[in-house]
Amino acid sequence: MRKLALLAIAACLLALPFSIQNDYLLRLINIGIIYAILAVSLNFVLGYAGQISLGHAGFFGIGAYTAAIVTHGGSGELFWPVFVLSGITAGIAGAIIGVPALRLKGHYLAFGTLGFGEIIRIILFNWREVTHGADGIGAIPPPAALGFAFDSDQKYYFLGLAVLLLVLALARRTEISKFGRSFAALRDAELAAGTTGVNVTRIKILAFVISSVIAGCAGSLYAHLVGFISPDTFTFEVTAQVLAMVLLGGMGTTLGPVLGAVFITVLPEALRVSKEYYQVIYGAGVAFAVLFLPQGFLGLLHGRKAKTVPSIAEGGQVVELALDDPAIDLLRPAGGAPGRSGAMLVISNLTCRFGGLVAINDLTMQVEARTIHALIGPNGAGKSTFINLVTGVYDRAPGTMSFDGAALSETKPWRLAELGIARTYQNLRSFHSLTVMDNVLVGCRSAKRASWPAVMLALPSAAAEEAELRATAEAALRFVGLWTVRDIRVSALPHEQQRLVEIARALAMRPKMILLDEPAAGMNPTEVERLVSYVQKMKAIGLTVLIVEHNMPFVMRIADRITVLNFGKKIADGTPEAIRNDPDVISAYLGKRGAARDVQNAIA
Amino acid sequence: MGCIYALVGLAFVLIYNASGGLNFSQGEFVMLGAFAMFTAMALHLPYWLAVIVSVAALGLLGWLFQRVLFYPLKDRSFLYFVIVTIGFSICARNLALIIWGPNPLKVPPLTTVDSVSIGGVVLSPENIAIVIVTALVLLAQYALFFHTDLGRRLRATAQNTQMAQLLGIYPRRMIGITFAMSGAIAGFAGVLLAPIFMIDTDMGGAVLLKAFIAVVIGGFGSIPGVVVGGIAVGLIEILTAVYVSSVYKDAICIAILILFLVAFPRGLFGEAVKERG
Repeated sequence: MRKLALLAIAACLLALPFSIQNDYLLRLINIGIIYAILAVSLNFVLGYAGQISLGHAGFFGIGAYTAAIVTHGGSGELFWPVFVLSGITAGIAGAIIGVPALRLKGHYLAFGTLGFGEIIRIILFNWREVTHGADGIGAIPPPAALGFAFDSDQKYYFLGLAVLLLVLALARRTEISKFGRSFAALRDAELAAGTTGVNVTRIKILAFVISSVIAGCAGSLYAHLVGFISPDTFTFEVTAQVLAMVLLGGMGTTLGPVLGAVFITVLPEALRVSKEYYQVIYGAGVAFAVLFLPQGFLGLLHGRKAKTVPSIAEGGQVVELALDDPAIDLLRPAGGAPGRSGAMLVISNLTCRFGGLVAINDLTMQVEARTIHALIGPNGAGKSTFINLVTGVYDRAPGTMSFDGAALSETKPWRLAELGIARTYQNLRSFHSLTVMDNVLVGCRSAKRASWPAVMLALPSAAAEEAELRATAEAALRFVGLWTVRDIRVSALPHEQQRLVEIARALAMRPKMILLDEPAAGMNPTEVERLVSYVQKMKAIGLTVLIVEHNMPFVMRIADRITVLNFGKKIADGTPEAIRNDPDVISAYLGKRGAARDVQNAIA
Repeated sequence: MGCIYALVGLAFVLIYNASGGLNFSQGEFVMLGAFAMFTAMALHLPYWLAVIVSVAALGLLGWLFQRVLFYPLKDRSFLYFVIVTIGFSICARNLALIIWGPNPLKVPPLTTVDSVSIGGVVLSPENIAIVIVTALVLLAQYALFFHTDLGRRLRATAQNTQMAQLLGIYPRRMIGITFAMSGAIAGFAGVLLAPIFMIDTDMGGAVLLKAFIAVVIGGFGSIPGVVVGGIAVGLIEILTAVYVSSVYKDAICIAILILFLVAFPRGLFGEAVKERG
């Protein structure tokens, strides 16, 4: 049935240019195809990676002008190399824009890219020697190959359609590959993406480069189709139109931008009947389409399907990965667990200030390998700050930390993640638009990584990598008993299970050490009981665990060693038994006059 | 000119502060303000009444604008609101084209005096009016925001809508008031521009871009910042036109915009860079 429908659509697409004799209409369709390519390119940045670009007219213009300047008055055969060149020049511009994008977020990025688009337009206007200014460039030849020229709209249609399908295939492959997952992770929770091992810097620039290359190629197609270009074509209005296409079609979907392009291209034509008013209706139409179609056209189709959440229990029982299961090896620390016992993490003289507030004051401590170490202290003691410093979320001074026997100068979260430090968050930071499985897959890393071209061409190396990643993710999900809900969107799960997804995501990174920031917060006693068994299992497979927690019975049961912080200073360090009776700890928790007996009751 | 940018920027910042929305049709409010002034004068209203009517009309438009276009989108990504405002601006511009026609129009000057000389500097009365009105609007804003109960409620809504709601403030009304003020201020800018420039339907776009730059230079969300930014943009424009070339005055303004965004994203007086929830 599906195949039949696809065949029918293909047949319609092929027959379309022959059934329309009206040149004007064909030209419109071709322009629509080019806009669709542009919309798909914007979707890479906006829909997949969640970064805002209001400068796509700039990339489009760079591509078009590259093509026009090189080929005008020349042979149509030049189209092919210059098509690639257009992509490359626009791609370079994209990389340049990607760098400030690393520092700017939200509205600021919107303005930065808006300014970029305007600058390109002004350069096109005023650099007369090269761009001919407002006069524009004409005599751009139609593409030709081996004597066959795409010189009519009918022929050009097939060229445009081929490029569009190619771009859509790329988009689809990216979306379902590890790159798509990294983009989504960046979009949903940038901070967590970094500590899960996604190289945020690289992936942001990658998104901008891919997007601008495609936009540049669209520009080249446009120049060759129309044969004459001037700066007036590449204004903010183009960006706005393309943005409307993506939002209307459905942000982050493969086909959405194309549907949006069809709508936005056809709408003014459908309104031409009322000559003077059509722009007015067009503006209002766009506004109202956005108001009444919140998820875009595709959202309208997909949103209706309700999904039932399967129970996490299979046959009435939660099935978890047992320690003697061979699959558990997939979760042991990458590169083998350190057999020796010794210090895994050594912190010396670590200090962190926020303005005048000293959050961590000259802290020195160490965490032994293959132990469960708890970090406790009253609210505001600096526990979460400590985790943020260790995982690179905050910068720390050099020379204050060594990990697994080597001094660590790295401060980028994803580098630390690669070295074997994983974490969860006190406030949930899961990648909420992804399924449980995809969340965990973001954490998975293979020793042999497939490159972007390999993934796009679906080479065996890419398939092998994907299979390996999935096996690891499966083991991690089974470890915490979430395998049966793997296809559910993580935001649909209850609180405890979302926490477990974060733990599975951290485990899937195969870290040497895992930092759990208040894992038991908001859990009921049964759930805490399950958590205890998971943490003990982590220790058993060779992980070092550091837990920040307020739930004292929980800490006292599982910790091998406890460090107590108060006002950023270490006030005690020792076994649970020793901590329980330490007078400094008692006064920190209950005040100086607190009776020791009350403390016993409170933490026993 | 700098004062005009400051006024438009102020209108823009008001909406941003209250709702986190970026209004890309702010320039069209200026344009409509100018046309409203023209129509009022054409109806032979006295000058002062024409000003009041135009500003009030734009304030009303601002309120309607938030009711119909902003409110349904308030819980969604700001991008949707951006697209809606762009749609509105296309709509408004062409509607104006239909109503007032494509030919630039001229509003009669404020007074019959051609120029006033103050301490040897020759100024036109319109320019003096712009400076005075900008100062008055700012003073009124300041008084409203920091010395009245309404101002306190407006600020509370801008900072934490949910908490304000719990304290019995009706956020919808507050946001409505903000949009109305914003519309009125942009309208005022249009009224002030009308006598010194020919007014046409495309005047909004140019003003808006400069106002953006003023906002970024001054720092997002900062009202004193936007005034300084607006005046700075006006000065940069004039200085570039005099000493370099008027062709590149826009390019230089935008280069400064990018410089500020990359090097000092906080602007001169802005809030810390953060993602708005």
